[in-house]
Amino acid sequence: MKIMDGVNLTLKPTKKYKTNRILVSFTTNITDPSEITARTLLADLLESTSVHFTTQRAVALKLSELYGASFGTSVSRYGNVYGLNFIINVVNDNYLAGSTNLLQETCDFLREMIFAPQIVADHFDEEIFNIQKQNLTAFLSSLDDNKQHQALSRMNSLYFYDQSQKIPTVGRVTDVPSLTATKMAAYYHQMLANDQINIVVSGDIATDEMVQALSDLPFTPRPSKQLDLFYSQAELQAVNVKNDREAVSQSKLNLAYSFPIDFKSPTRFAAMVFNELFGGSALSLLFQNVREKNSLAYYAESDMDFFRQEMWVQTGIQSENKDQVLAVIAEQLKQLQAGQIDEGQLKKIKIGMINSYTGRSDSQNTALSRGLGASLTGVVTTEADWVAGVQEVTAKQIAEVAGLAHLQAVYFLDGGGQ
Amino acid sequence: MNLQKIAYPQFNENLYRTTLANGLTVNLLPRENFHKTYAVMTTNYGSLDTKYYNVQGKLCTVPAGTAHFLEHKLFEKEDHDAFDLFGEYGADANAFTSFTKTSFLFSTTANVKACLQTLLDFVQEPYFSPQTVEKEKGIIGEEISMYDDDTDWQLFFGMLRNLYPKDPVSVDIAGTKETIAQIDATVLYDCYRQFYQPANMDLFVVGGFDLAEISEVIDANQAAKTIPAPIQDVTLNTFLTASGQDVVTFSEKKMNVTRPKSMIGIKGMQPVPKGRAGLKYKLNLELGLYLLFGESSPLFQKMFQVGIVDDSFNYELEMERGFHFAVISADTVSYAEMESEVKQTLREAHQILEGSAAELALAKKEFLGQYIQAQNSLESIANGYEGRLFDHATVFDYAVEVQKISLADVIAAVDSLLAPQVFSTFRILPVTK
Repeated sequence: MKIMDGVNLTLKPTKKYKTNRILVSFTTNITDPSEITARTLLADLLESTSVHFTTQRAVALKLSELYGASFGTSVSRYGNVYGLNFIINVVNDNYLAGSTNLLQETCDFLREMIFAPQIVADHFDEEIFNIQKQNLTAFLSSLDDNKQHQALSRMNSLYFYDQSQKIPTVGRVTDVPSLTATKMAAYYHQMLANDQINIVVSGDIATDEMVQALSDLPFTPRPSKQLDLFYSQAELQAVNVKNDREAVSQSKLNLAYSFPIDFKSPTRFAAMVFNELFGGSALSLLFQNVREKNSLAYYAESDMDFFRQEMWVQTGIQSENKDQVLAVIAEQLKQLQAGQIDEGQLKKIKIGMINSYTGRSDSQNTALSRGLGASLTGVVTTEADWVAGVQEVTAKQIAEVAGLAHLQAVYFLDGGGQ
Repeated sequence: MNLQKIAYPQFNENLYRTTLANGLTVNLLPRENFHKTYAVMTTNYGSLDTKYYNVQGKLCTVPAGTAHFLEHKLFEKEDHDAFDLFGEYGADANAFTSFTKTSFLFSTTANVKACLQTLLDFVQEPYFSPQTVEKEKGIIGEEISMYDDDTDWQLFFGMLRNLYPKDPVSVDIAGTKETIAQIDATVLYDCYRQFYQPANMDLFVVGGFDLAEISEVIDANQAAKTIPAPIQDVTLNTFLTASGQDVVTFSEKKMNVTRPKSMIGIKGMQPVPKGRAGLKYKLNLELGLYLLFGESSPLFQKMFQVGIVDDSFNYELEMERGFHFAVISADTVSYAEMESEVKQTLREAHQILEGSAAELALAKKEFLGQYIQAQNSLESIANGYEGRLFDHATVFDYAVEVQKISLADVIAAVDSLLAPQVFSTFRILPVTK
């Protein structure tokens, strides 16, 4: 439901859980790649302190008082759209002795954290700002200490041409120095005034009760707009290849494919089944052939991003097996493109997808992300739609979508011989 | 099935428990409204159980990584793979090994009965052959390589080698490429017979299943199997007797990292009390460490404000069969300052805690809320069950017990952890280029 222009509330009432979970998501299209890093720094600033809670300790003590409410901010990317999210999870009063009103207190806390940052005279408190800036620098510079993450982010940087898409969702360290306490305050005001806002709530709450609890949040109307979500880029004829040599025990071989699928058409179900069959599950061709049959890897998996029209494969292998692994991966994709699909395996893959989709419905987090996804895309998928969509996918459709996957980039983090 | 009902009215939950004739402990927690059922079968056997007395009373030693290897190989049978059977039903199956436990699990929203039968059967009907064992060495070798590059894992095991230099707990759960090379089908069968006896195992089922139907499936499945007579006291822990003098108080390692990592370890030298008293000791320590090192502690705030640590500052308490220790760690260039601040807080812990009555009241609220939040997750409920270690306590017991804790309890537990003070420091430093 619309609370005001540009501010929407999706309430998912349920008695299944012992907590109420609230997501407040600010989304926008960005104009400058450096905004990605700025939004991460802003998320850190807004999570850590406020006018009334001037230290992290004060925030932590307040959360203890709210019976250990889990609170945090995060950033996210949906194609061309960037999100800054506040999430809080708090125990439902029914499970506590005595009389409590945690829902109202939680909304009051959210109001404080969203609307009362430590901004004085158009800039963030310098001391707090400098610490968060220093921490973000350290965090971003150490991301590559996780080798799987490093390989994935270098693969993406090789695959995408667009400057913003090349950058990891949390930003990059080279953009940090230019961010100042004044710029961040201006960015905060701009976000608060202009971003699209989606509030999604899951819990044992009536609509009027929730609207009442949120009514103290002083949002202002802003032009309501459908954000430009889907990123696409022209396909290259040649494959971009990059090898980095590093002292690692396990080498990482990652492949990126362009994967232009229309999210709003039924093709998306065929694409999901294809991915699951190719490398998305333990029953997949990659898992069975790279790992089980040839013992070449502990993990070999595929994944995809509709919003960025990309599919990718990740593996952890020994350097000397690189060519063999590349050949096995190419062979599996070729088989699917040729429509060589075992009906029994396809049936299992579909049952597994439906089973796990239904199982994920037992999570409040899923409720929030599905609610937000529906708001952003305008595509509302009921559980029955989803199940039917997957059921109806044929081997022929899978071969067709498999044909849309074109290898564009191969990144190899080479640990050398043992 | 003769089920004992355990009611938790405050949380609107009923847990049903029994021990079958063959010794298997069964816990059933039906959850209305849930589509999913999660089941986990656990054996009280993990990576540190590398020495045992067999049925003839002979002391046997097996290679490090055997429990984990067995976990991998139990899925594969002579003519099929249990993964495929779960696949037929659309269920997700998995397994994991810790220091003292091995667990096999599935989650599903359909065919619960068939999945449960599959779980019981594949875990209770081993099949190992030289070919399949050899093939697995490549896969597990890659798993070990992956962890070799995982700097947080290396930090943790560096600390374990310092705290328990002579004990199997200090070796990676998966073993090393050298130790797994020594594993063969005979070793796996021997360990299977030793440790996978129903009396040494438990089954926990939670979710949207029908209680009567599922009890019947379990009863019928178990009654149809002939299982050799149990061996008493199947596990053997020897390392708790080791003195604090073995501890390596400092070491460091160079790795491919951007930021240094440092960890302070505290080795628990007193045996953990058995049963619920052990749980109480654990909760007391969790609260004590939270007050000293948590996000709302004065120490964290002090170090955060001057930039010594960031949100990577963390503490953890590990308490399993036969050992317990606490670690405090951070990724920071100012590791020397962090280490000295942490050690000073440990030395002053008793006095700090004496002045923390108001903070404890808040911490208890926090812990209660967290234990209620955990009840949303079927996995948290089942995986949080520690079996015999804490006399079958569940997260509902945690939530009840934590409300009864006093400041004196917390201080006594922390004093006990620190008597005598056996500390160690382990660092991972960047390779200088």
